[in-house]
Amino acid sequence: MKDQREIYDKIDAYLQGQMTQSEQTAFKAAMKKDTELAEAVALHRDLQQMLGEQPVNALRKNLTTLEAGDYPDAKNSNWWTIAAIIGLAIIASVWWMMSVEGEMPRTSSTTTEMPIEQPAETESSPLQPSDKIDNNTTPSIEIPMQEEAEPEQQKESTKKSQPKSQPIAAADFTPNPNLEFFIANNYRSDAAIQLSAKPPAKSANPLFQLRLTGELITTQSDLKNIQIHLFSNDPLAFTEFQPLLILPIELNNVTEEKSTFAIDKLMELKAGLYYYLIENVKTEEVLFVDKFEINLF
Amino acid sequence: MNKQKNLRFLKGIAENDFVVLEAIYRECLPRVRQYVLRNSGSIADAKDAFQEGIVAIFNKVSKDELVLTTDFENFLFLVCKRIWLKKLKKKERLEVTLTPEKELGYEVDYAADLLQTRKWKLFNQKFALLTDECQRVLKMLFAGQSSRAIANEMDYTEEYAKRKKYRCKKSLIELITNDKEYTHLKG
Repeated sequence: MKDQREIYDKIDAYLQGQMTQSEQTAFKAAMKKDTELAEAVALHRDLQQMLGEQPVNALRKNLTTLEAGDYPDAKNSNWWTIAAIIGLAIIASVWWMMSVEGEMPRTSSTTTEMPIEQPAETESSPLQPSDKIDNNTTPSIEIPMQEEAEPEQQKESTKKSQPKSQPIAAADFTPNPNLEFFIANNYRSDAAIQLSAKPPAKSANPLFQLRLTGELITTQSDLKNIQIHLFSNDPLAFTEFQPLLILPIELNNVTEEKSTFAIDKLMELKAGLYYYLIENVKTEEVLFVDKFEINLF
Repeated sequence: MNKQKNLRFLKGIAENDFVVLEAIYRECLPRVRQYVLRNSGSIADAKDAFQEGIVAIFNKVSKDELVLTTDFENFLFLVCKRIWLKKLKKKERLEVTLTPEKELGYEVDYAADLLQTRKWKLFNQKFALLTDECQRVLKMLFAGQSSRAIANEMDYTEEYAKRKKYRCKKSLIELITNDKEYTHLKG
């Protein structure tokens, strides 16, 4: 068992460039083999950088002192926000009244939250596309998760309305830009996955048999922590990571490289656009992302 | 665009001028704070993003000349926004290749990461908990001084200086690694 002090001394020598070429090579090789050592070197290096005399550290000291102060918002922006909230509250309550009278089964009381970002955002940004979507479809954003809290109301309205002739609001199929990004960047190179979501033959009840089968081509040795997350297309649901469903997948190791799995789940899902994401929850590595649509007719 | 103000602020950052830095906080922090709060962040997150943004500008002006094509306030806001989005995307486990924003017109330090600010704060917080003696010894160590130099300065034997160096570092590392904040920062 090596003396810890010896190790510290070696790390110091390495970081301060006091090792000979061959000593350096040997030390680097040791770091590759031993992740703890590599982590320790990284930590010692960070200590050096952040506690040393470098000018940036003097700057940070001033900034840390300053941030404790009081910096009130400019008055204008508060008024703007309040006006926006009042305006949206009016829109939301009108929508609520319309939805109760008509045969729209959903409430959208959470829409007041999302578009608040609009007033302050005038410059373009990566988030802009979804902001614009919110703007156009604010009144009709449907949030499937809302339904889980109001099952009775939903059952009543599905009895009244005919699912076949019910028009599906465009917002149900609005793509979620973040998840689209995943898909566009091909988070599927390791897998060949098939998903089918079959509705029962005739039903006023939107219960779908979700069947997901496939092969995951992965060199991962850790097959135990793979889970599938099902998301609605709601951007907030993903940003706040609130999936509709989390299921662990049992992977069966067919060969060293391929694993297969199959899951069956009966789910009550509204018509709309959904995404699913398969990941290793321990390493937080995303293995596969895809989407599917549920149409009632 | 106010060129004079831009110059004043950039110079203030480069020179670590407390008065100018305070003006920057007063004029620019609220907008960044609002943005971060509306995008799933906390006030602490906003302060960290803001500090990291200023440090990113500092690092840039230390190396090259920085000529702004927009108001400083707007520029700083964009830098901080980028830093916050980077953190959000990490949380969502998105792999993002950051390309220079059109508004900025050029790249600003892509090593800029909120985690750096949080790390800095944790390390300095724990460092302040050490004894005065340990703080002096470690300051010299981090300035690259040899054990002999430390021994001279502190009136130790060289052997004692070596042991002290080790013990102080060990205390600091233990303080840091035992804090649960550290587990969030390792990534």
